[in-house]
Amino acid sequence: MSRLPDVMTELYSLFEPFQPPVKEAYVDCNEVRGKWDVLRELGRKIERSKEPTCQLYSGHRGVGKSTELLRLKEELEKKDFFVVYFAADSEDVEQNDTEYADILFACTRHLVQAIQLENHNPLLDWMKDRWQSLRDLATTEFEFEGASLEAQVAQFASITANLRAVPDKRRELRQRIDANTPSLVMAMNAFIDAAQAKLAKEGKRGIVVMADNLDRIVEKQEEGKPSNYDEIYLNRSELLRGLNCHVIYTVPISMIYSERGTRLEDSYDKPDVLPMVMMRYPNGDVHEPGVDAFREIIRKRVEQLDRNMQREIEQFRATASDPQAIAKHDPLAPTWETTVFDSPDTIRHLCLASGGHLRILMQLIQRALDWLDELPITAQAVQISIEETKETYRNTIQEGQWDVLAEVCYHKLTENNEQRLRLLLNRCLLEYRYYDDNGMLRRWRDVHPLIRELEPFQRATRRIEAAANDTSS
Amino acid sequence: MNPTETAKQVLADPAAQYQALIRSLRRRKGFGILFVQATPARGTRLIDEVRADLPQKNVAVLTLEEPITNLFKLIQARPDQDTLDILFIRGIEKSFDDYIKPGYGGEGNYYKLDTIPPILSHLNQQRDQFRDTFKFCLVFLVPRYALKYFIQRAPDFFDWRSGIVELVLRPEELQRETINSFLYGEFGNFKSLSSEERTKRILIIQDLIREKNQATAEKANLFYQLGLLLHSDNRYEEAIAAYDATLSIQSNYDDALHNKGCALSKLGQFEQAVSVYDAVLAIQPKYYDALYNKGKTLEKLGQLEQAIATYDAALAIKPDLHEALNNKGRALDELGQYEAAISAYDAALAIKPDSANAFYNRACCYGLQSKLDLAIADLKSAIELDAKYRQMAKTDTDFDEIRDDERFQQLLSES
Repeated sequence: MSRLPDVMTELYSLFEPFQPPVKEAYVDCNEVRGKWDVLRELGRKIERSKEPTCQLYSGHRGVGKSTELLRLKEELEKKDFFVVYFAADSEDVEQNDTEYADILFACTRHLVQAIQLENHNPLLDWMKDRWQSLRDLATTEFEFEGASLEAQVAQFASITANLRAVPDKRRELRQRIDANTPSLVMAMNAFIDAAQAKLAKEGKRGIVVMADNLDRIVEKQEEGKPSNYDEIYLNRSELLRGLNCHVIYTVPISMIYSERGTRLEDSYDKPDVLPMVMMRYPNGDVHEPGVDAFREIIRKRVEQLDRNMQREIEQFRATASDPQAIAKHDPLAPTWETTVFDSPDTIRHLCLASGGHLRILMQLIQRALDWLDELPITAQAVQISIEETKETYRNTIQEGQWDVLAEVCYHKLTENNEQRLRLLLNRCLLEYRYYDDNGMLRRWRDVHPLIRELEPFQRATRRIEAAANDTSS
Repeated sequence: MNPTETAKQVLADPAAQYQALIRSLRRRKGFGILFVQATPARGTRLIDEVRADLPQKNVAVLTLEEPITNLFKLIQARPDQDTLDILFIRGIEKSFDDYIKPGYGGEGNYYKLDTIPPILSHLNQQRDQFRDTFKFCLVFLVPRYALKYFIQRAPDFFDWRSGIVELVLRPEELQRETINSFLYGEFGNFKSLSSEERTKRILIIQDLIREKNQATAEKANLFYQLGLLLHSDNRYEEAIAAYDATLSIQSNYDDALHNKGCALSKLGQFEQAVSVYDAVLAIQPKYYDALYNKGKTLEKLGQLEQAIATYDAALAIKPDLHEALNNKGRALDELGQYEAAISAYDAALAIKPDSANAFYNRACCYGLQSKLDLAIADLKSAIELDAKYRQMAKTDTDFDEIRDDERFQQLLSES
């Protein structure tokens, strides 16, 4: 009898919280995100605008932000745009004190990498000039000769970054770079214009830069100083949006969900936030389409398992005689709800417990598998996984925050303040949107469903209720 | 039993927790992030157990002794990185400790917005690079506060975890860890700790309190220890909350009650403090510290006669409690009963001949009585024992009667 690959191992791999879904496993959740569609929200503006656009895009961690952005990339490419997508990596934003200049350098580097232009002088000249003025600050010698333009940009960015890491040189460097940044934008634009001209000959409609992962920069605010977010996105907005092509920056969600949100709107096109998948209506009723969408996500991943194991399963089928053994190791589609899981109710329970948050769903499933030696995934294993996640929320929420959560829930508050903001950011509060029966777009917030079950939250809720009754009577 | 209760029971079972961890590690193909919450000793044993139970996996340990800022480079420099399956990482919390700044209460000292341990911003920003470069599972062995640091300050990295395993301690292990965490001795021992040291101990004790198998009686002790630490860090409200937690488990825990009184008094809630001391004395009538502190609090309330009676009660139990004699003297002094006050100081000095405080107080009494020689002799002794009394005497109105005296002036002008 041939050895069967371990179903549990394969299944486990399909729910990795850090892998975006393969294309076959993608499920369109627009409807259950209040009809939020990346093509409409971000794409349409690019298609229709004659001028370069600069859009900010944001969303909670792990809800499918990058997945949606990559989908937009594909669509725009179909429509003959030239898209430069990059997920800011270590070379771009390695430092503890990332600045707007790093972001501009990152865009430059990836643009230059994607669009090979021979001997493009404006950019090269800019770097050579800067280098002359920075030379005395550097400890190593570097010549901008010979290497490719891309390598030179990378080198220039990394040298300045290294310089900045030396505290006593930082201020000096900042002054010199700041003094010259507008001309960097000009040099980049000269490059972009040349590139657009070249690409136009190939039938391209324009360049779109997508700078993903910029929301990874951790917020830091010292007493009496503006936060590093403000420095990057607000105080330098004229530079960040100064590029002569379409740009989408992924910004931290706290930028948008704060009093800075309106200032951002003044500086950029209206920022867009990818909402959660809604699992319940404000009155607590289950939003069935949301549950269906998540069930579909699970089903498609399980289907991948079939695909990966098809051959082995066929072989196994040929040699095995015990139909029960086949059933156990053969989670083929039609019956997956009762072979991979012990019952459809368990799946439903999982979906509701996720709060419409995709990554939590993945983690709940992976962890449930840890408590089992074999399929099916049982209600009990899911419950253990849920209890563990609740413990993580307990660790997330600080002592003073229970009342804030309870208050938002009880009074259905939607306006922001600093405390609520922090809870939105660590996804204890979730924002949903949907169209009501009258076709009106409604936004509302709820505490994560697993927090609802925590004792301190319930205690805080009772306090709020009591206070509300006091004032009303 | 309902599913939730069963789930909780499973989670409190060390063997089940361990099995789940083993399954997770066995099934992992390539990159992954796991967090294991465990004490250092438990962590060491865990690594041995994993090695024994998963012989097919290549296991290595990275122990961090010092704060670091870049984990990626550190791992990348390992010669074994291509063959690894599991890398345990211990001591990452050493990179956080410097960023726990004492200041205000609660969790306010931790996870603050104004600073971020560089290692956390590194992890947060480089998570893709970890995933794309390393083909093995990173297992972080962390205490609870380090876990919280990840949650609050490296949320993107933390978000990629495949699980958090809380390695609960077996009851006997827990007992040992609990006993080790206690700092025996006087309150002064807590006072002499550095603020950072206190912070660390607070974290350890908070973790132990939340251990799933922690015995209730030990919890009372742990809360008491926590109270002492917070108390010695001048975090009185929090200390009171901790003492209350002790008392909610064991209502006759007289030490907790007594210290609660002290903390209340520090907060200026004198009336409550007095009734708390009375409660202590109802449990343990011979608790002379409670009597002594009650006396002090009564003094603060201006109930001088009652204060004196309370000091006498303390002295009846412990006749050599010179602090009580000294304070009694001061109370008598304030009542204008100088002779009685002086005999109280005499008694205090008979027990503790180098009590600068008693000398000074007696000098004040003599000063008020214009007994120049005696006042100057006592003041001189006090200043010799502690120079701060020179400054005090300069403005103390008790000496106004003798202030113009040449010898008095000379004593004060010396340095």
